[in-house]
Amino acid sequence: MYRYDEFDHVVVTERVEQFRNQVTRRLKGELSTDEFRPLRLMNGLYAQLHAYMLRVAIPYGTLSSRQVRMLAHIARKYDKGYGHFTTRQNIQYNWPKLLDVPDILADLASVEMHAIQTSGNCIRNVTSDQYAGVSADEIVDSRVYAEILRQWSTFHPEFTFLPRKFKIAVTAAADDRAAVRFHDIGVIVHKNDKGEIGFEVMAGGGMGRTPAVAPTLNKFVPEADLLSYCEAILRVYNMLGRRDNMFKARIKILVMATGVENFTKLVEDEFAQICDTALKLPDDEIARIRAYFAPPAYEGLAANSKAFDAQMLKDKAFATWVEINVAAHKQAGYAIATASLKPIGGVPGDCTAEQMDVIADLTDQYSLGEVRVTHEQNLVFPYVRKSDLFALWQGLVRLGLDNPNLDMITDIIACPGLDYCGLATARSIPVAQRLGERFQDLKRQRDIGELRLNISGCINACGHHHAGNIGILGVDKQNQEFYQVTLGGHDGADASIGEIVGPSFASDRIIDAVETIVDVYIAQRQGKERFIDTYRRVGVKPFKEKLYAAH
Amino acid sequence: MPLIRGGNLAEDQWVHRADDEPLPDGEPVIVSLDRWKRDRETLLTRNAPLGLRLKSDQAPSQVAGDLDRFGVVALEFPTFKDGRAFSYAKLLRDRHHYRGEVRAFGHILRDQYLYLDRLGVDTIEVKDARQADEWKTAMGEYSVFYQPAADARRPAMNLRRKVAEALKPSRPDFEDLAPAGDVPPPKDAPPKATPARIAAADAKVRTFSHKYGHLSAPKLMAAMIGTEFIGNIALVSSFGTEAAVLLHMVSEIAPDLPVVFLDTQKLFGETLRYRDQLVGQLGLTDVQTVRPDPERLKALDPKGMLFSSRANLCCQIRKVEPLDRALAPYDAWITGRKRYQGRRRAVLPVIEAAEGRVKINPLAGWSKDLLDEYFTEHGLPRHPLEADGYLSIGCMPCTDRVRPGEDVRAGRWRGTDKDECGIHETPAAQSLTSSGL
Repeated sequence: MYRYDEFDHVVVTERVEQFRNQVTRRLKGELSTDEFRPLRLMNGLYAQLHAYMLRVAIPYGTLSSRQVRMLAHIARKYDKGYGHFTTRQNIQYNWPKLLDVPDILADLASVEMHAIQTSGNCIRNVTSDQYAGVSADEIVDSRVYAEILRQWSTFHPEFTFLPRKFKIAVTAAADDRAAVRFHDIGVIVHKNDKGEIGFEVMAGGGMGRTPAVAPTLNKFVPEADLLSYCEAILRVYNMLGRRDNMFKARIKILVMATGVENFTKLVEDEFAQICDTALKLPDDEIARIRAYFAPPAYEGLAANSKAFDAQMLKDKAFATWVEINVAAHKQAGYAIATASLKPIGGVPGDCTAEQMDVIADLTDQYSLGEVRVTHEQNLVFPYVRKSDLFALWQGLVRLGLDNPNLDMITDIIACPGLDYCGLATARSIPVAQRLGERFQDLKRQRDIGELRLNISGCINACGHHHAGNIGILGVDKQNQEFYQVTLGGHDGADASIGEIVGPSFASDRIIDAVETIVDVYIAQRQGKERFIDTYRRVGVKPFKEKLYAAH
Repeated sequence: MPLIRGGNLAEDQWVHRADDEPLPDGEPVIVSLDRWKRDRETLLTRNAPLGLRLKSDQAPSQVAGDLDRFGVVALEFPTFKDGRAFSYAKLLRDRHHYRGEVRAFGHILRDQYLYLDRLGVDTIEVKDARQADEWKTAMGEYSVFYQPAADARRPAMNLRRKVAEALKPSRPDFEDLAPAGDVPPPKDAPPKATPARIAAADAKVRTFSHKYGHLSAPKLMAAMIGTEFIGNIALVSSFGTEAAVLLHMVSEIAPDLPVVFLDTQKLFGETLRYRDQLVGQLGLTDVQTVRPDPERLKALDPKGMLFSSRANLCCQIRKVEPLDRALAPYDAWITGRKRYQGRRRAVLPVIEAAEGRVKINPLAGWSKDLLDEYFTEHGLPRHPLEADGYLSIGCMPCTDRVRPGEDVRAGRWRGTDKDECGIHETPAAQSLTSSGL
């Protein structure tokens, strides 16, 4: 994984000192609340309902065991003993004290981590595919480009006071696991006939109150021009994006208002002016970064492990977990295992300090010291020998993180909602917990199959409800929590936005409503059709009829 | 309004004039874009410098053809959150090649000053002259920058490439490889060895080579520590990839032997943690961590970037000088160097003399396989960076991974003639170099 050199260390260290100074100025009254806000936000510090919340970046989701131990230490020392993994490969602490934050940032810097630009109207943490480097369906390791973008976007002098926040995601796999089309800039790495690397660049995707699937601006930007092209998009956006209305300030609104064709022309014209400047990436720089992501020293293992085969036969629970939570690895004898942070009745994405410590140990023992965070709020062990899967699983069982529910109806993405967030209009966590309990029967879940259910506590859509096969949006109706349901959202390569199915449901009816939707799907599906495929074939009508039949 | 230029209070010769204000004869004025458009011809006949004021929704491209008529372009920040003028400043410099003064005014935080400076803004109108110092401080809050902008600061990527480039042997005249000798030694440097002392050490080396030269590493060390140099010998360890072998031997012979560890303050965190792990596991009781002289760092390497401009001098103040001080009490020291490490080490003697001291290299003849066996046999932990391809580990900035097939120290000062930091500049090594090998 990437290792900070002298220069990176200087950046994060100086950042800690700068923020320490800003906190002092704020406490002395030299900075107004309004002036301090963007400064703390650019260090990931939010003021929430009950306390400050600190969001720490996990660039492209990759963590070393040492970093996981530090995250646990921070949870214990400065917070209430837990952290929350988010839908953008970050971790949030919900109870830090303002005065402690500079020390937390210093602790993070000691393990090459930071909270730089995890909030604010700037370029946020660059996300990527959690299977980067290990999946068979990728062209290259996308984290190489995510890291190049991370460095370029850090303290970018021109793009740190944008009209609104700006998110970039990169994937290099056929199966888009990074939801790139729902980002302000989405990048898909391709290889052309000549074997050259290039990027399909799209812009203007997003969730929020105006969900949009990003249109492609350019199908093949040459490898050396990645930064020039992104800079061109950002410059057009910085100058033309709306600043009069916060709700219309994201780049997607600019793209829609300008029209894709016109917007693309603006970007291409700007790109033509800057593509031959210092932004051009030299081959040796790309190679230098790539060297950090070189594959680990794999052992020459046989594709099959006798011990593993025997354990599969012997232990049914283990076999189920393997079938659902373990993915194929590109290296023979290895596997990719996902630990579900969605235990029955638990809070999606939450992880205690004790769990983190054991995860760090398991990472060292069974995954070459590296673990990944997914945008679905789970943890991935990317380098597990097949023969170690059983031991890893046993470790996860002890932690309660063995739920075999990957990509199934209880693998719910949920934002923190009204339990924590100052923006939320309804709670998300209790709905996720009740759904988890209602659908906990594993046999039934497996029968339902792949079904993504996402919950947001407000229109800002941090729970990605627009991209859920079933999306649930919490709304406030005369101080009552109601939940609006969307169907047909999807965040893969064939991304789509969910459609509102009809009037929203009261809190006590939402679980039944989901069950009804699932029943309609079971009745309508043909063969092994996934929920999304059935929905795309039959449309919203049968669901609507059943849901609102009694009214 | 007080004006800040280059981090300091500066005199402002310009006066902002509103659209309906008269313009006194000869006064350098800054007028709005509207007024410029309205009164262009009149303004051009005035015999005084003229400046242009742009609102945050007025891009400089609107007056691209006229820019050379203005002595200053002033960019307004109606609120610090409106970042459009950041792009305008960049475009003024890069696209329109505007060479006059670029100024920012309005609601600007000092925390934005460095960004503005990077984008080619010369001056800022500030509210309070008393806070000038704060602005100056803000300007220096960062010293490393990742992206190219409109300033002369070199992005980290260029610095990284420069380090690599400068260390290439094809440019031996480059200052980076200049010897450190032109910088006077620190005032408190220990005195150089006297000729008598040098002769005595040479004599001992001859005797010992004959007497002990055939002994195995542990036995040789036991003789040196327990018989010849009682209380007068130290081990110098890097706590690098193979250091555990000697340290383990010491733990069995004399766990209280002084072990000198040079913390250059540029080491990998992994090395420091590995040191603590080994010290604990082996029960070593006298590990002395030696650091560079802070005064020396302040004088010669205030920004910590000396490695990129003068690598030899950097080694001199971070390793050679601190070691000289640390070894002052001793007549002999033990190192972990091995012949298989190649280059100048290929001819390493087991016992040698240096600077009037006896220097013992018990592992000189050990192969990599032998070392590996020792690790396994004694259950010694590996340096955490080894698995990551670092086979020889020094300071972070000047250590690279080693590729398959390269010799183990190929990652040290990669691409350069430099292959030693200077603490082992022994006569043997020097003669090897001068003979042209």
